[in-house]
Amino acid sequence: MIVAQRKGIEEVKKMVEGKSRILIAGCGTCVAVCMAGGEREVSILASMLRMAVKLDSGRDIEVAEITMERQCDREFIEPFDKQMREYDAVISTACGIGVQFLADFLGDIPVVPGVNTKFLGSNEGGGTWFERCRACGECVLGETGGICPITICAKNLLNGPCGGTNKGKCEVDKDKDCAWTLIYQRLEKLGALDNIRKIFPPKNYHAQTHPSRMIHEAYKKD
Amino acid sequence: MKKFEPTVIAFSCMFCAGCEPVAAKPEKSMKAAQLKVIRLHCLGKINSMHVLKAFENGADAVLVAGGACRFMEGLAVAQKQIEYTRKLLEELGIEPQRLELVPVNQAEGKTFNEAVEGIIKRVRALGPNPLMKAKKAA
Repeated sequence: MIVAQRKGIEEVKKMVEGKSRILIAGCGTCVAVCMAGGEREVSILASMLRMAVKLDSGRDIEVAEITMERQCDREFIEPFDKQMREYDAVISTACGIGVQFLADFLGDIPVVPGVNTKFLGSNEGGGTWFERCRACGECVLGETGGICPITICAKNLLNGPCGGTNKGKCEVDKDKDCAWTLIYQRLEKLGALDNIRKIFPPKNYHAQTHPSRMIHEAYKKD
Repeated sequence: MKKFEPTVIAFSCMFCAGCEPVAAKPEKSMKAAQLKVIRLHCLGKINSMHVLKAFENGADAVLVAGGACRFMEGLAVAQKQIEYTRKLLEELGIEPQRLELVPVNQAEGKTFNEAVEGIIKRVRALGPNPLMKAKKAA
């Protein structure tokens, strides 16, 4: 999932300064699961914003709340079109993708982010998320026992470990595991230690253009 | 000038019978202050959202009360939520001392009353909810 973290109220307040009618639009997918931008967090942000503005200037502002299933799909945004256009500004608590998509959709209404998008990660148990994927576009997990060296290794090494590995920890940060030690141990368990001898050619980062676009020919509409 | 009498919202566990002012004789100051008890099926249901709404609607203090949890983790879950909510209040400039979690078990009405007494005393010293002051100033 895409992991995000709430922004401080001062920053949010500044972004909507001078606006009297504000809508906070939550997203019910990734950011709801990581407790940053779902229905509950929208309610918290709305309360905080109303209180912050009142404490600051004594002014009452209107802050409405909605949460849509997904903010990165037009079909989920469209039903809220009319409602969203009634406001001076929209604070989106979706990831950066949702914010941009909503801003494109609304066009002449300012859409600002209510969260900071952090990374693509997994839930490590209550309240903890861990980065798992850098979306590099050329997945090598099949060769590395399902552990991503691009993400977990501090140096993003495709051929490791480097000389900085020390008792399973990384020289960059002693609290972090060495990705290549983890890969070695996993390959050993899988009986695929031979994989460690494979030499990966350097990644062709030049081939990655941004912004990327992907087309699925089976579903593409003309 | 009218004497300030705080409004206290108490979120209490409905299974901890102690979390009711009727369980023990209410003190004088408790009668003067407004105490509203909102009963929860489990203290673990409490969320920052509820506490912030209480302050937004004019509460001068919020008390969260519950004890040995029949669902095992209610109190522990509530403790984390309250700690987090205190940080949110601090960020807003509202004194976090206005929010308190008090462990109260069944048949401990006296403990509950003492906690209400304590928070009323503290809030009397702090004054009304800063939001209400901001409203008057505007």
